[in-house]
Amino acid sequence: MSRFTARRALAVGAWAGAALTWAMALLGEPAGSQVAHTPPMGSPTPAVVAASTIMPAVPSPPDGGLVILRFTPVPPPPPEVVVRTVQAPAPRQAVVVMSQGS
Amino acid sequence: MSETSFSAMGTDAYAVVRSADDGVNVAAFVEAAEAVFSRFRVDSELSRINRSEQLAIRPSPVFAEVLAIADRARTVTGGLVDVGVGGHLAAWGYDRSFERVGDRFHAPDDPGGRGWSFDGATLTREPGVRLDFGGIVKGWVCDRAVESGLASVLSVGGDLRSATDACLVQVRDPWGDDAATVALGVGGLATSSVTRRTWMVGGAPAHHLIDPRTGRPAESPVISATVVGASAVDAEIGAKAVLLRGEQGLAWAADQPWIRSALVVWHDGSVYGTSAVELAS
Repeated sequence: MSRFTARRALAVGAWAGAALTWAMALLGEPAGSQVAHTPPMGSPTPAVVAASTIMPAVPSPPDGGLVILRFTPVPPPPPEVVVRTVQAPAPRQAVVVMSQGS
Repeated sequence: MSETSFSAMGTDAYAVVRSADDGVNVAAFVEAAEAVFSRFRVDSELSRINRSEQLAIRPSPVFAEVLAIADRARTVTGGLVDVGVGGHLAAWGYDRSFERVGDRFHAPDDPGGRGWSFDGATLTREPGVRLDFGGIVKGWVCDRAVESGLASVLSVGGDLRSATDACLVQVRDPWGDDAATVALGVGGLATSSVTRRTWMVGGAPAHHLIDPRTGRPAESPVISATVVGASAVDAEIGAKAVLLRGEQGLAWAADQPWIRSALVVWHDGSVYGTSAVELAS
């Protein structure tokens, strides 16, 4: 297993510095003025929300107001009926409780 | 003026340059930065530091420059943007280049601390802490290349810096549709999303944005946040913080003097912005 000794740290620093010094040397001459461009920002994979909690409907508005750029809410999923069996202490008898969750 | 595209830092890069030579040079610059800051190159300075058991290290000047930015990011976001979560990201499975990341059956145990400090010369870490600069390096290379005049526009992944007044940026939502076209002009813009790099852990989707408050992939009603600032680094820091702050993200962004404007793609597909957001007509 390699150890990060002070000597090796210096070597790494020197190497990294040299590499970027070389690269920085490329950053020499200024560019002129340009025309408008619209760089694409990539196209992500279909949305996956890593969330198990209930999500708020809209963001909290800033003091200056919330600007709606696009309003396309997806209807929330229907309530799910949860059936649980609860053991009563005595007499031993099953009680079915039905509740609604989101 | 010409445009060039290339692959770098595990993503797509785009630049507006004066000549083909400048296009080659800007690609070489991004590549050189990746050689220093990549988590996935065994010989990068970052990998060596992450492997090191030394708790106090003096990094190279270039590394120190980005480390100082990361220190500021942590401060201005109240600890939400923290490069000390590299160990957590690796524990959740993102410990290799993304195309090689596989699904996992179980969520990992918490790998522990993420504490680190930097005094301008020496990096000090708690035992076991690993760093991941993520988008900060992407923003930094965009800023550096444009500020030096090598490119008038440089975009790496979701980070972009422009030196031209007439720069419009088309922001796409996670479904590939246009969320907005921002009239950026001179400045920086960054988008942070939890939908671009996902995999499964314990039957649930995981992604690359670790919430330092939980040590787990962030759960947020915001699936994509875009911020405009004076630089790409500011925009990058702001975008991550807006996403992590979730419901309060836009309100927080509107109060930050270093953030010009912000917009989010909400979990239901809606798009909201701060009042300062400037759209192309």
